[in-house]
Amino acid sequence: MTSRGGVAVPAGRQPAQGADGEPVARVSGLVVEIPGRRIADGLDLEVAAGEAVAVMGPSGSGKTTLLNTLAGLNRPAAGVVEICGRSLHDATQDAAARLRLTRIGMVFQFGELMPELSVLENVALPAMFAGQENAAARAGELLDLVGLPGYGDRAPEELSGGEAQRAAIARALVCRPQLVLADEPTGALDETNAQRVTRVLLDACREGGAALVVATHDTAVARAMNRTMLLRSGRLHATTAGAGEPGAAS
Amino acid sequence: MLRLAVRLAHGSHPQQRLRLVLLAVVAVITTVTALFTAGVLHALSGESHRFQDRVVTLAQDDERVTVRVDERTDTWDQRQYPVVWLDPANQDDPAAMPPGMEAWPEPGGWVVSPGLAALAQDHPDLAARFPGADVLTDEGVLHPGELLAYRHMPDNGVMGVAAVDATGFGGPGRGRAIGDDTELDLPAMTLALAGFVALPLVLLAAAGTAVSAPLRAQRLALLHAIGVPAKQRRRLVVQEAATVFLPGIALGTLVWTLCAPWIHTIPVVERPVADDALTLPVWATAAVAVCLAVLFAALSTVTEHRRRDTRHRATPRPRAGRPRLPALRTAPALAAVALLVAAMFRDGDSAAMTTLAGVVLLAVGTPLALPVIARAAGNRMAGRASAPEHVLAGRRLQYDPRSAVRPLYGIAALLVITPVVAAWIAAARDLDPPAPPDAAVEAVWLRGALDHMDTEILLRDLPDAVVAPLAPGRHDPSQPPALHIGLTCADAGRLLKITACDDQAAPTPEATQRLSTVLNTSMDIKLISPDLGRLTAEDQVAVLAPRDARLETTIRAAALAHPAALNVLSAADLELQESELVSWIFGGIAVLGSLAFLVLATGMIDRTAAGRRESRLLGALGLTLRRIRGISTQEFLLGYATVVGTGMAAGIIASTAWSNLDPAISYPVGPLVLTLAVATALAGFGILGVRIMTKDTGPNP
Repeated sequence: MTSRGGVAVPAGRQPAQGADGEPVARVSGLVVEIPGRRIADGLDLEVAAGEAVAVMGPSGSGKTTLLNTLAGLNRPAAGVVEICGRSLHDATQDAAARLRLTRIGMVFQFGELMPELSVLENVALPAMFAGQENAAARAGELLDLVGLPGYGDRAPEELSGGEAQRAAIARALVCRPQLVLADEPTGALDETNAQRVTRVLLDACREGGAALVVATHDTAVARAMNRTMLLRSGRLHATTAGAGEPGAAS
Repeated sequence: MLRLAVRLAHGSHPQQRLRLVLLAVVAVITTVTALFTAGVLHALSGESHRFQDRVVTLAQDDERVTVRVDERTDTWDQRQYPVVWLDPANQDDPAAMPPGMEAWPEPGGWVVSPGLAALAQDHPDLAARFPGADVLTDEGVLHPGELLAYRHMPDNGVMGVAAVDATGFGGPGRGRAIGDDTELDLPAMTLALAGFVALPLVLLAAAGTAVSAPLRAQRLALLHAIGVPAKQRRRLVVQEAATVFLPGIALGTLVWTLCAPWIHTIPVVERPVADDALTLPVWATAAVAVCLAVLFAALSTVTEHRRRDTRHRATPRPRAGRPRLPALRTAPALAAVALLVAAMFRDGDSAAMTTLAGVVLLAVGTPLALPVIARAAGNRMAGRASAPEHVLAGRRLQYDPRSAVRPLYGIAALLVITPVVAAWIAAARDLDPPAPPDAAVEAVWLRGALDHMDTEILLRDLPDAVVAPLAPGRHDPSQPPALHIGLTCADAGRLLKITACDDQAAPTPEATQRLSTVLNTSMDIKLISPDLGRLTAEDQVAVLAPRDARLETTIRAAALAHPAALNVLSAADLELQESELVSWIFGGIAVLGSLAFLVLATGMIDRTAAGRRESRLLGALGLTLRRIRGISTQEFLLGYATVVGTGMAAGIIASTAWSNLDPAISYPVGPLVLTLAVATALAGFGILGVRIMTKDTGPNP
């Protein structure tokens, strides 16, 4: 194991190629507009299978909007968005939702666990809706994986911030997605918990063979990824081809 | 603090904007309804005063008699009203004049109420009964629609045996009221209005103040975390709510103040009121507005005190488990059932009062118990369901049953009250179908000063009519009871168009049966020789005539013009008149239903808006809009079914107890079925509302 910015990174971690070499996520010429400005202006991005990419940028630069577009929650004004070979930019809402349920996992800044469900039910929820058998068993395994054994029967409000975020990571992986989108997953955590959550996120994605795109302003988190992109003026600028320093021009 | 409250109240957050609109609308509606209700009580209070002012003050032995009074009745369009004969000792004595009469008409002349005068203008037959009548002023009538007539006794007039000596009207001492005061039992009306209007208004106000409660709870949690004392937080809560509800109350007050003078009929009840009767004095209007402001302020703090924030990171983590619902909430409902059971072992007034108390307690206790029942229902559904939609819907209901069923409290109360009211109304009405009338003959009855009756005057326009004295036969235990009719066989045969008697001059069976129908009696009929000369004021006669649509009108006009005071009763008078309270009950139910609907709408809009965050989360996790709507719909239906099921069960219990009071009270199966049908239809409306409101599956929560 090596360490970058205090976060342990599995040695030899390389972005794995997909079975046919196709990227898991491909964005080309993306244009996303919100009232008053253009968030993405001809943005390009490719994420290979198993790759971990950090998207950095100042507050308000459009990181969350980019992730929402990758998830099919925003419809771009122009450009191509393909996830797992499927076109998302012109998909219907229902088609985008089905893709999110089965191929994409999402992690939000504050976890967003449903208070009326137990932790186990929260984790199993996407699998239940996807009609997968043994959703509860799968959820239990993931809770063990993320370091929350025996937490299944607890209510979400009983968890700490870090614990809730780890449960959210487990939820994102329950349907064995090919792509995990994490929006500021450590934004509300202290340094220790941030490190732990980042490690759990990377390990869990690696375990499941999922690619990972993380929107973050935390350089320590970015250093743990294979690649860091800087979102500036509506475009992504690569800073490094591997776990590297942010700020370096492509 | 006030500036902060204003900023918070008018914030740009969508939920805050929703609160601004809903709370303001609720405040306006609550204010107008409250002022209207107070206005109705004010109008009835005024009527009660006028009713008391015209009570005939009976003269004691040593007191000077100013006027002799004989109250009779007349009927128009199935409305029976008083016709009061007055014989003043001295026309110049103002004490002899009833309120509203400005001058004595000529002997035999009439003074009628404005309502009667207006009716007479449109109906010549009615006008013919009161030729040249003067009109009472507003002081002499309860309300413009009241029917009342005074007659200055004719010079050769004779009053009936019920005539009394009086010292005047409205004075102290024993008295005899003129007319019916059923509606003027102010304590009872106040209690009824409190149940039908005031309680639902409190529910509506509570629903309004609870809008967007989670958002405000989050703010309060932050304030608590940074050290703001509880007293200041409460003040902020009240001020924030006040910036919204105070303008709403002011607007509602203005609307009512402007509209009240123009309202001449109480809506729904269709009851005329005197001019400006619904306009409250300034102090009363202000008092209502202040009470409402206090109510809204109190409800704002109650909802804040109850809710605890579990989202804000600054607050300490709560103990394990969901918000508790004390089982004590079911106590009133259980106590009500115990009362209803106890009533079954009592009789008479005790049974009635115990049953009434049980029904009222059940109507109040059922909504209180609903969250406990809803939580259990949610738990059961989530535990047994396999489909994730059902699990999630069940868990939502289990987690926060109070906010799920609170919008439905009014509906639950309606489901309890409606069958009982329906049973009461059915008993209040004479539901036995009248016997089919005889095809050839009809009768009206006369009572009063019959010893001075002039049949020539009476039957001037009815040449084929016959006056037949009626008297019960002497009681012979070996014989069935019989009614003796002073009618010859010839007249009976002429009227019935058959051979009425046999060789022994006894009425044939056919004649007996037909005369029984005509005279509305179940007694045996015996014909005797008519002797009108021996009639007394205690007797009763029947006027028999060939069936003619004008018989009753003609006889009534003749009787009213007759110098001797006579009362006319027709078949319509013998049918039980529906109590005026029935229309008030219907009005109350209508208001209760409308307010329950508003509470439902407010609560649903708020709950759906509050659930948008979760809808967005489900959308972000990959659920389609259709599935999200399905979950919201199932959650609504589960809560609604719990409420309707519980309310119907309580309604069945209450109406069973009510029916047990009196065999005449039939079990209201029809109203129960109808209530269930209406509740089911409302569910459809609710589902539509949920589906319309659940529309956003946009970006992240």
